[in-house]
Amino acid sequence: MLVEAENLTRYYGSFLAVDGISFSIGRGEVVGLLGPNGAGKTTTIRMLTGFLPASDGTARIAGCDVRENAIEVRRHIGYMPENNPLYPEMRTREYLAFRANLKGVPRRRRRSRIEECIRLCSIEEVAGQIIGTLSKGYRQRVGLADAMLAEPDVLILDEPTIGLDPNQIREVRRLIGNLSERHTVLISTHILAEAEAVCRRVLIIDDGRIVADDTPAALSERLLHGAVTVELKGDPQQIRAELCRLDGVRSVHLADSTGWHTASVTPETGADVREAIFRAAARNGWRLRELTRSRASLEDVFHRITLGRPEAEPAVAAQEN
Amino acid sequence: MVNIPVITRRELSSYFLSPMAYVVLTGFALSHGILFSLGIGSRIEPNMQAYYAFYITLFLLILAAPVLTMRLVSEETNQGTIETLMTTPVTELEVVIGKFMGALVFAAVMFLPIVVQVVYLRFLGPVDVGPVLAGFLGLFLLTGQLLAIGLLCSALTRVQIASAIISFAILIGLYFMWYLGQGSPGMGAAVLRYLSPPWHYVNFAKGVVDTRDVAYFVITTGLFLFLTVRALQLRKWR
Repeated sequence: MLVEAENLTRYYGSFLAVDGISFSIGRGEVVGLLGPNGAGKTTTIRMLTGFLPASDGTARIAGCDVRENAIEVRRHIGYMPENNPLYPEMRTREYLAFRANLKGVPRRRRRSRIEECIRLCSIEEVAGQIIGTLSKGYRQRVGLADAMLAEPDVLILDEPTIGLDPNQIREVRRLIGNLSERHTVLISTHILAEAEAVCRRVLIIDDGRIVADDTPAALSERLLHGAVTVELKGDPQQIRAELCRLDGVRSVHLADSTGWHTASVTPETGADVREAIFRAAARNGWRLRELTRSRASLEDVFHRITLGRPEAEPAVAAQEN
Repeated sequence: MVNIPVITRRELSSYFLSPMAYVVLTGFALSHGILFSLGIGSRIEPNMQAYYAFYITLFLLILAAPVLTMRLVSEETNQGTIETLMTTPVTELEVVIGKFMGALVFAAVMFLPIVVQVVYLRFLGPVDVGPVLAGFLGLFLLTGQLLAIGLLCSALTRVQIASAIISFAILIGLYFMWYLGQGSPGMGAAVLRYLSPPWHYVNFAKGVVDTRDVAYFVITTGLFLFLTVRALQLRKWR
């Protein structure tokens, strides 16, 4: 495991910000750390980078203990903090050269590595510009270029798209997507679409505790138990009765709209009832124009988990066939 | 320790990119030059005038040192760049020494008018090289100590102006101890004198290099730098 956290705890005075969280991230994973503002994401990340010491528990990066071997840990990470602080008076290339120096990029490779990062982050046109004059999108990319300079094993990005416009967000996400080919990436965000777009696994953190750890698809599945939406034309009484009789169906909710009936079918856990519904429609001569398995968006999952709403309530935000 | 020159170079470039640095350079050159030329009329003897050049620097540094050091750490804390800096493979000691060296080199540039003045005095008459070199050594040691105090204050607050005011107040206090200790008999006055930087510095300005004075500056500078390192380390627990 490249990143390991065991019972990480952090107090600010008497306030418990992170409450004994544990997780591990393997090589090549792209993991989203999700949570509402103030959930403890930044504190967790700061403990992983060694910027903040944990009040209790341990963290290891590439097998090195963050507290006991802080300098070695920092050689393995590329970190872009929240708000991406940079030196505004420096020029982009000069800044990257300074950072490459600090990070110990070998002298013979330094120049080529800086140019490679400039190219990868598409900041060639602002490489000679003063950072203070750059747009937020460019500054964010300079921060990303800095994070990847020393070719670290782990990239830790805290809210990498905050404050960007939609085009810039798309650009930065594309960049992060490319980074995942070479690095293990941990992204903290409260923007769910971001985690859904780039992460293969999400950790949801709330009130300093991890409340969910799974793939976005599995979390969605867990929330809706594979609920199916079907749109049919036929006798509503018969439709309800027949669907309720099917194996694996827990409940059926039928709504009428201009002759077509929309049925929301909640199956037993793990059951996929789409084929049975199709056969029932064929058998009874109902006209069928839609049969989809509902999938909750990560936003629904996040909302329900962090606000403690019941998981079984069906909600359809995104759908998959 | 390989990162010290890297940090020193960045600090120096940051100084020369900031308008405040040019205000300090110009302000120091102008005020030192004016005070120096006012002294020329009353002190004909070039060696006395050289002593005077070092003596007036003592007082100008009370203002210059806090202004030079106020941004060193507090700006990093305020802008958040301390986080990107302290998550690279550098130690707090390297950061502190690197920043200190940057400020010291900048101060050396600020002192160039004094070199010009000494060269000018040689045209007026013979100037003993020894006392001048001692003066520069004292100036180097005193500046190091005052910058270390300013650096510590900068590490204690994220507000630059607060850092400057705190270090200015400390320097005024240290200089005032010299004033209090002068002319008064007794152990207390001697301790006050001994703890104040001007009392040691004046010996250098007169051309006297005493190892006790050297030790005083080296130890106190080291102490303030050590405290700055500790302040940076303890920042994590705030």
